[in-house]
Formats: sequence, structure tokens, C-alpha cells
Amino acid sequence: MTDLAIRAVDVWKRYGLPLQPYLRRQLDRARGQYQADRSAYGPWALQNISFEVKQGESLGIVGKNGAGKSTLLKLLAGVTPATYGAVEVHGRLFPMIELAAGMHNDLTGRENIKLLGAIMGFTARQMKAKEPVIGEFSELGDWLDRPVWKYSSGMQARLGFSVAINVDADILLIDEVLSVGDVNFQKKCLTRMDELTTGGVTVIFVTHNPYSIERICDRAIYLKDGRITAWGTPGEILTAYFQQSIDKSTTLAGKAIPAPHLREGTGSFRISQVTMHDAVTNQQIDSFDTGDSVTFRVAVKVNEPTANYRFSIRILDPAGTIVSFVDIPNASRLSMALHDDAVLECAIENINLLPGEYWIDLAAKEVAGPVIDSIPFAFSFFVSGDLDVIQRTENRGIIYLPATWRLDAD
Amino acid sequence: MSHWLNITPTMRRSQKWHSYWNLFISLVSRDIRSRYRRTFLGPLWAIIPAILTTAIFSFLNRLVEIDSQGAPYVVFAFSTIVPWTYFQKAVVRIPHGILANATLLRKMAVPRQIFPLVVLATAFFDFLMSFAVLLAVLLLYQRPVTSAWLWLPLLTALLSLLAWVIGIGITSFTIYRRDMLYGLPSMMQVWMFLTPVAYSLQEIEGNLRFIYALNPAVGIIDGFRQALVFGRPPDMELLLIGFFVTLLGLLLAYPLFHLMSRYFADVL
Repeated sequence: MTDLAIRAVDVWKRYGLPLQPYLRRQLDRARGQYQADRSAYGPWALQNISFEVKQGESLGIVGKNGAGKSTLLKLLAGVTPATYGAVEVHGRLFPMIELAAGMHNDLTGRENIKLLGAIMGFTARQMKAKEPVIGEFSELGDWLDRPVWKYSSGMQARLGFSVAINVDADILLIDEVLSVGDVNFQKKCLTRMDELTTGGVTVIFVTHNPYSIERICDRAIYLKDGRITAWGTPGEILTAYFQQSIDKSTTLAGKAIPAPHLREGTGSFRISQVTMHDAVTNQQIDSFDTGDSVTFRVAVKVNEPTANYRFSIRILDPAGTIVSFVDIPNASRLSMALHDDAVLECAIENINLLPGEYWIDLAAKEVAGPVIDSIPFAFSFFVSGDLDVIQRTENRGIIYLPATWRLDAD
Repeated sequence: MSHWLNITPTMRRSQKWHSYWNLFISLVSRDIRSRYRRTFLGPLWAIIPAILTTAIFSFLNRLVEIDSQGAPYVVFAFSTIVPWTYFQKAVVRIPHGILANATLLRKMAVPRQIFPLVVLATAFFDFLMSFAVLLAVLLLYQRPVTSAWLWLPLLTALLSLLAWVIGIGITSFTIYRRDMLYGLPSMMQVWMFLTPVAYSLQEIEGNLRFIYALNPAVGIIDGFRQALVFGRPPDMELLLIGFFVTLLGLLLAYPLFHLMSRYFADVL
């Protein structure tokens, strides 16, 4: 079993001292109300967690806030004991959580490098050898000889990250710390991460943004309410994540549009209802498959006739990145003058979005004038993929580009 | 299974202890170096509290004559205030040593036992500096160096042990319920008046004396005075009673700390 890096066997975790739950159980036993089911004696942060990670593998752990991700990392790091079950870790493990932990503000960057090294279990001599590499990676230059309290928060994070990523750990626990520093530094970190994973370092990567596991992980597990509800390739986990986590209350059918007086804009007209329809059957839907054609119908209540306006639909991913922007083309604008209550129809063909959750933003503006009405993050919809699409893309990325391959023998 | 400090199972025991020792030294040097870095007076702050307390007591001595057994009161009081200040600082700071390292404890599997020892070591560093001042004062008042001074290392060791025991005992609860954290400074003040710091042990007489002796700090603190000021060995009876009380405390406090500290990360 030498190639095993981590093994968790039926791990349960309840926070706090075990005394009170113990007494509760004994009391129940005395009263003859003892429940064999452990979950009755909660609240449990983790329940029945079992998994294995081989050396050199990278495992993603996806879940929403409060799903138990951080608890799982803490158990792996050994800072808190499991209530039941066992966690086995083979190798020097380093948690890249709270990167500034152990740093002291009144010490210089260089002194802090030595300190963090000692916390990780390295001797002063070993750290002396690593110090130049770490210093260079951090790009802090002269700042290394200044006290850390004078650093910007970005510089502090850079220092912590540089130490963490340049010490030879066998297992890295990463908790969404990749958003450190500016774009160039992030790129450098990602490159270094790739080097580490190809070099045989085991990585456990925890995130609530399921897209980020694709880049780093071979396999992933999906945590929900402290239980593993799915495990497999990142693509499979993404699909499971969206299927299980889609919040019906924010979809077209479930979400009410905020009252007009709560919205910004001049109110020349107001959006009163938005629906999404299948382009073929014209049925109202709140999810569709990759590549389907869809019609959005926006009912508006006109307060004063408006002739020259822009109306846009933005499609966003859950992180707020604009995936696409659909506006009324100039040519059509004249024919869309609003005099009375009406319905604006926007048909979009072949929406090649990969499976996932997306959001819609609506905004109406006078041409080169003020906002008439806008509903930011109006509602979400869900794209489910057919098997072919998922296989061809491994569900990586956001858009699906139908590609044709051929071999050019010449 | 515990894997403090993420030591690989293949790592030998000696390597493990080596890395703990290395961490201990680093944390002590961190605390000592950083403590006075952003001050004007710097390490002078290590000795100022003891000097101030002595000044206050000397002033009180002007108002109410305290029997100082024939020695100048300043020497009489300073010789006990210096070890007492060490003791008090160590006890009060031990819970803070855990709280101040909360982020570290939540992140890395470092042995929790290290932090009280780090506090003890930094407080000891302050003690050494005030002790140097104490020696200067003794010299100034021309108190002779005697063979009784050989007791000082033992007395210091006993005092450190006591501070550690009280510190970890209180910390075990304090991390869960913060009451003691706020009550501790007052408690230490009361304790000081129940210990012959400002006054002579001879003031306590009769039946009261036995109960008084159960205070484990009595024998040690008075021992410092006897050795430094009067050149006499400490009262062995008091010292022994104190030692057994300390041992009893240790038998309670250490297992308690060991158990409770496993769950520190859960509540920090």
C-alpha cells in the first residue's frame, strides 16, 4: 500500500467536546430511547466519508458553503480529531489554508520565511537553502527586509503562497487560495502547481467554484450537507453539481421579478414578465440542452411611448462573467417602437452553452440616454447536456464548439 | 491516529523531536524579537513592571510600616517582586499564547503543548533581564553573595513548573469559556497578596500558617528572598508542601490539557 497518499474510512465529524453528546446518548439509553442511527446525535459536519487518494493524484472537493469542505481539510491536516472513523495520511502534508497563519506582522519577510519553514517542520539549515528560491518567487525584492505589517494584503498573500508552494510537501491541501495577487502572479502559481502535480505531488483541491477543479484535478467528489453525494471525473461531478445544486427558486418559473419601484431607470416602460420557451414546441421551459434554440419573451408595460431604445439580454455564469450579450440590432430598432403594452421576443438559435447554471441580466436604455429599466441577475436557467456533448468536451469550459476532425495524410 | 506536524510515518522519532525543538526555538525567537520591536523603550519593558510595582510598595511602606526583617525595604520587596512578576506574566500569558496562535492551530497539526512552553520561555527571558537589574540593586545595597544563592536555579525551576501547571490548567477551560481570561489578572492580584511578596512570611502566625502554606507559591517566593537578601536557605517544609501541591496540580492539569487541547481547533 505504499502508493496510497490518503485514506479516509467512514469518517464522521461533530465539532466541539464529545462530552455533551456522550451524556445525551447515555441518557437516551437509560430511557430506552437510544437510536442506533448515528445521525440522530448531531449536528454532524461530516457523515460517513470514505475515499482514497493515490500518490500523485489530484482530487477535487466541490461543495457549497457549509457542505463540510473545510472540515474535511482540517481532518486531513490533523488539526482536529475525527469523531468516528480513521484518517490516514502518508507523506508530508501541507495545508495551503490561511496562508498568513503563523506569520508575525512585526517581523520582516525574510524572518517570516524562516518561521513558516519551522512551522512546516524544516530546520533552519534546510530553510536557508530554500530562502533565495522563495524570495525570488514572491517577487518581493527589497520588501523582504521590511516588516510584514507594512505589506499590502496582496503582498502578504504572495509571501505566504511562495513559501507554501516552494517547500517540498508530498501532499498539498489547497483551499481556493489561487486567487492570490495579480494575473501574472496567478499564472505563475498555476504553472508551478502543474509542475508539482506532474512531479508526483498529491493535491487535494477544495472549491465552491466547480469550474476550477477541471484544470487541476483528475477526480473529484461532491460534498453536500457533510456527505459525499457523487464522485467521478471532474466533468461528471460538474454535471452532478448542477443537477443537485440548481436552486429552483431562482429559475424563471420560481422567481418573482422585483417590484418596479425597487428597480432603477426612468420607467418609460417596465418589464412585467419574462419567460423562456422552446423554439420548436413553444412550450415554457426553465432548462434546455446544449445547442437548443430558445426564445425569450419579455412582457413590458408601457408608461410613455418609447421609440428609440436598446434592450439587452446578458448571459452570465454563476461567477458573474459575461458569457454573451444580446442587443437589438440597429436595423430592427425602428420597427420595435413601443406605444402600448407589448411582448418583446428574442429568439436565439443554437445556444452552445455547456451544461451548467447560467444567469440572465435584462436592461433597457434610451439610445445614448438614461437607463429605462434593468433587472440584474434576473433569474437562472439550467443547461443540461446530451451524452455526446459531455463526452466530446468532458464538460470542460463554458461553450461548446462543434468541431470536425480529419486526418490530412499528405 | 495523530500526525502532529505532518510527520511522515517513516520519520524517525529523533527527527520528530528535532523538528519540534526547531519549531519551539523559532516561536520563542519570534515572540522575543517581535515583542518590543515597535516600541521606543524596547526590552526595557521587560523590567519596567517589576520596578513600578516595587516603587508602589515602597511608597505604601512609607505610609504603613512593613516589617522587612532588618533589610532595606526596597531590596526586601524587589527580591520577591521579580520572581513574582515572572510567575504572574507567565500564567496570564499562557491562555493568550493559544489564542494568539489560533490561525496556526486551525491550520497546522503542531503539538499544542508547545505554545504554553513558548510563553514560559519568553516570560523567562524577561525574568532574566529583571533579574540582572535585581542583582545590580543587591550590589548597590551591598548585600553579600552567599552559598544560599545555589538554591536559585532550583527555586526558578519550581516557579516555572508551577506557572506552567496553573497556566495549562486554566487554559484548558479558557479556550472553551472565556471567563477565566477576564478574571485571571484579578485572580493573580489576589494571589499576590496571599503570598509574601510585599510583606514578610513572619507576619503569618499560628493556625493560619498551615493553610497559608498550601499556597504553593509561598515557599518558592519566600525562598528567593531568604537566599538573595538574607543569605539563608529556603524553608524546606514550605517548599516541600508547595512542591506536593504543584505535583497534585500537575496530575490534574496535564491530562486535562492533553484532552482539551485536541479540540482547541474546533472552538478557536
